[in-house]
Amino acid sequence: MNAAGPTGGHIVRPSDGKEPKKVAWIQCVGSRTKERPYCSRVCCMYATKEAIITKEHTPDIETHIFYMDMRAYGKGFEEYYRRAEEQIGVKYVRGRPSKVSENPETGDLTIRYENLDTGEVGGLEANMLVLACAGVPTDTNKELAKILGVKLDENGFFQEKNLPLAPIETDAEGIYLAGCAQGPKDIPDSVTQASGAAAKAIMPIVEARGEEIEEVELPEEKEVKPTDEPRIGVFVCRCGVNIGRIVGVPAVVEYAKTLPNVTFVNEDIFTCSDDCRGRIKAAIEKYDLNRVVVAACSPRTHEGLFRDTCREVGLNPYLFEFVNIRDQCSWVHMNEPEEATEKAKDLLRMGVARARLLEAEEEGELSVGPECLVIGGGIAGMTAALELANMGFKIKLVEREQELGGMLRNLYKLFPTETPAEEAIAPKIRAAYEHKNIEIYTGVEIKDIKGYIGNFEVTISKKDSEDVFNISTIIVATGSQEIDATGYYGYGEYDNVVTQLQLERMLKEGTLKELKNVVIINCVGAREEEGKTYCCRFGCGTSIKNAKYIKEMYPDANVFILHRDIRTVGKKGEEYYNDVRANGVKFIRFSKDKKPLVFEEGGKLIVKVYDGLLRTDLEIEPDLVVLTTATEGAKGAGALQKMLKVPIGAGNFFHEAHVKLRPLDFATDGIYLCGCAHSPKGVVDTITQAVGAASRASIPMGVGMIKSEGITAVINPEACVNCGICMTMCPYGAIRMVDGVTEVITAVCKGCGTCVAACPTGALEQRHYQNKQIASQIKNVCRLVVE
Amino acid sequence: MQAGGGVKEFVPKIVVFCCNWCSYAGADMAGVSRMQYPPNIRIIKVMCSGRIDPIFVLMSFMEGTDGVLVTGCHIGDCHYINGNYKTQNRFEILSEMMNELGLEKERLRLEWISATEGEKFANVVKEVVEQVKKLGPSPLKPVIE
Ligand code: FES
Repeated sequence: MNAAGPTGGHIVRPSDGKEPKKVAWIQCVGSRTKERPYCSRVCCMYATKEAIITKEHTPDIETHIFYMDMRAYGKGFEEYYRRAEEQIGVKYVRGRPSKVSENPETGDLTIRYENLDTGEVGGLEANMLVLACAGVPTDTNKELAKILGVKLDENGFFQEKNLPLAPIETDAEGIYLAGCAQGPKDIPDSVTQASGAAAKAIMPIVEARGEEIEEVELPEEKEVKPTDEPRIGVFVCRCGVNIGRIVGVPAVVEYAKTLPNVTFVNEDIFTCSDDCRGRIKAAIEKYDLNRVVVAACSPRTHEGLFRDTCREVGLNPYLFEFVNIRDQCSWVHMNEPEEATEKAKDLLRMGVARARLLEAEEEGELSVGPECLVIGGGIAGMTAALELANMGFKIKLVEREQELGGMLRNLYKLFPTETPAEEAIAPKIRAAYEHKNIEIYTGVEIKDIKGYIGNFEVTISKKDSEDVFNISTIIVATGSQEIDATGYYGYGEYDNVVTQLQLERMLKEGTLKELKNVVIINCVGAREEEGKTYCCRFGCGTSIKNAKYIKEMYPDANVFILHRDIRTVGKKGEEYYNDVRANGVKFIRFSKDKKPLVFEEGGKLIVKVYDGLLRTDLEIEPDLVVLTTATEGAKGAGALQKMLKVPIGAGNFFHEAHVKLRPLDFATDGIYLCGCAHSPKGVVDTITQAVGAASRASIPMGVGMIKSEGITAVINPEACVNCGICMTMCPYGAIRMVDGVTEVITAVCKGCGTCVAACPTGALEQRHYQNKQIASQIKNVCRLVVE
Repeated sequence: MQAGGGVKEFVPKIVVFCCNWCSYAGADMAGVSRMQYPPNIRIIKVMCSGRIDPIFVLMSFMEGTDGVLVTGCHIGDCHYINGNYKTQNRFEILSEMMNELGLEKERLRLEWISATEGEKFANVVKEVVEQVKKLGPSPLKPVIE
């Protein structure tokens, strides 16, 4: 599948190198078994991804995935899975195949299976089979654990200090966990935990932060004005034989000498070598060069090096230009040396033209103070606040309710460890109130947030008083809530239909009366065709845990869980599920097209469900129906989104900057997110994210500033008509209007130039990618043009 | 055509706009993997495809290039979140304008190429060069020569 892999991105059978017509996947191979009871978490989605790519590559290949439960639990996963099934045509078969046999003549495979949804027993012929094998701990874990003096869990992964409350720490002081070392997880969860581990690791040495940093001494920059006559030095590299064997380097050198403003030309075997860079520096000084062009490999690998070389002798690094005549010339035209030489000349001409117009640019700096606003006083907000406060930052923790604690205040015990929810929040509430670096505001609303990193101005209101303060960074931890279940399964109509949250309260308060038949229905209003299309990630665990409690309280009660897929993905989740299953709670699976019915008949509540396994309708007369409902972002999320100008998506959950690579940041600098404000999740994931978000926020605050490259947008106020189009273009909120005048917040601008391309009057310009600089390249594609 | 000198083979020149993060890297990847493609293209790098002002494309044609290839990160992968959405919108308008300028639409193409898609980069270039060769020199060329 990988374009850079052994088959160049083509899917072929190992046996005969032929392209398969039918590919099957088998999930949970070696996992969710007696030996390895846990779920490997990532395989459902990667099999789905592989099937999609296979079909995109060759649309008529048939793809079949055999699975037990489709665990599309993460943000956007359910939608991805649905797209695979409904739009791409990936076929999903629920069932664990019993046998695979090979036809020795054709190499084809027969997969024997029972479809657990239809009861149909069959054999699928496939040309190729892919096994989703269990993710297992690394061989060296045992040895490493011994050396470090930390424990491994019963499956061989590293043991965290406390599940769910301390998932990053180990029993050993100063040793922390990140990624799959602690248990199988996907990229976003790994990146998140890694950020958290970084914060934890800093803590014992936090006092020493910023010490022992060596400053490099550089000579003063010499002034180069745009009006100065350009004096260009051109350095052509042969890159050993990489360039020189194909491109006629001497001819290019001779050509360079003919170009206007070229003062000095040199040819080298390796321009990047120390002595050659020494020669560049000497030439800059000897010939008073004010521009440098290197024609060699790729700026992606070597631009920084040559920029530094220039800067080391006082030439502004933005007066350097790179021409790529290797990766994009000699290496791709190996059989056309003449054409490659001509192309190299053209590219050099374009580069010299651009160099002529380059200007010295300054890099921006913006100071960032040590104050952070944490919005939301639930477990996520409190964890993030404490983490930062312990690092010495000043926190304002804002909660709209009268008390700290958030959602967990309503809960009884947590899945899968049965830790009382109270135990999770009470110590944090106490610690937050006692911490000298945390200022707590409860019962307040945020009225307004203006500004940008290092410079946010926040207005909060409490009853009829207002308060305004300045802070540098913001963490959004506003959490989520149950949807209003009215209209689902008789909720709101029948008294004995309640939600999980109501049940949790009854369990907590001990008010649950004697029960005979209890029906729990999962995925209520979740995983829908439209609207709440997503999975709530913790609902399965919640339902299983609460079923267990009811069973423990009233052992004679029949407890049914009507579910779709069971998604107990977290550590210990699968084991807990197996246990409950073995101890008498009945699990009945329904499909999205055959949802259970709840109605009243003769004054009795009745639940009717189609049991796919028995292939018959079941009728239950429950005395309690519990709905595990979908969740949605907290009710203030919409208003907050407008103030922060950050994106929000389905279900009022905020959008992070990048799903995999930056799961805790917003694209806007200085704003971070964690907990259920990001997407629904359980306590382990929430705490991990909160520590991770604190870690992210600590970076600019710890460094005390952010830097921006010299490629940011600038406005010419004379030409600007303040139309505001650029503001709508900028994904970073780096352009603002102050008293009707548009301005760029340089420190926040990332230098993409999108606003510049959109400016109708030409008032906006991107430094280092100015219109005239790009135009000079364009004009020199076909011939020499000097303006 | 040159009088008496026989038919001079048409060697098109094509401008390729690349964004720094994906397609430029994809072009490098084609090189690193030694994928061969015709030497008719000249790459101009910008930070994001969203920087590509439609004027740059028009200017390329005005200056005598025979084709323009606009490239960037795949939708959803833009280093600057959504710059390439804007590129797509601008491209659609540009594409509409081509005929009015007396240019064939096929001289202009938009492709999303990731940093690992060296092969795709090479293939797209091959196709574009072939396409432009079929069309012959740009009708705007004589204007400047
Ligand atoms: S950075 Fe590649 S398209 Fe925006």
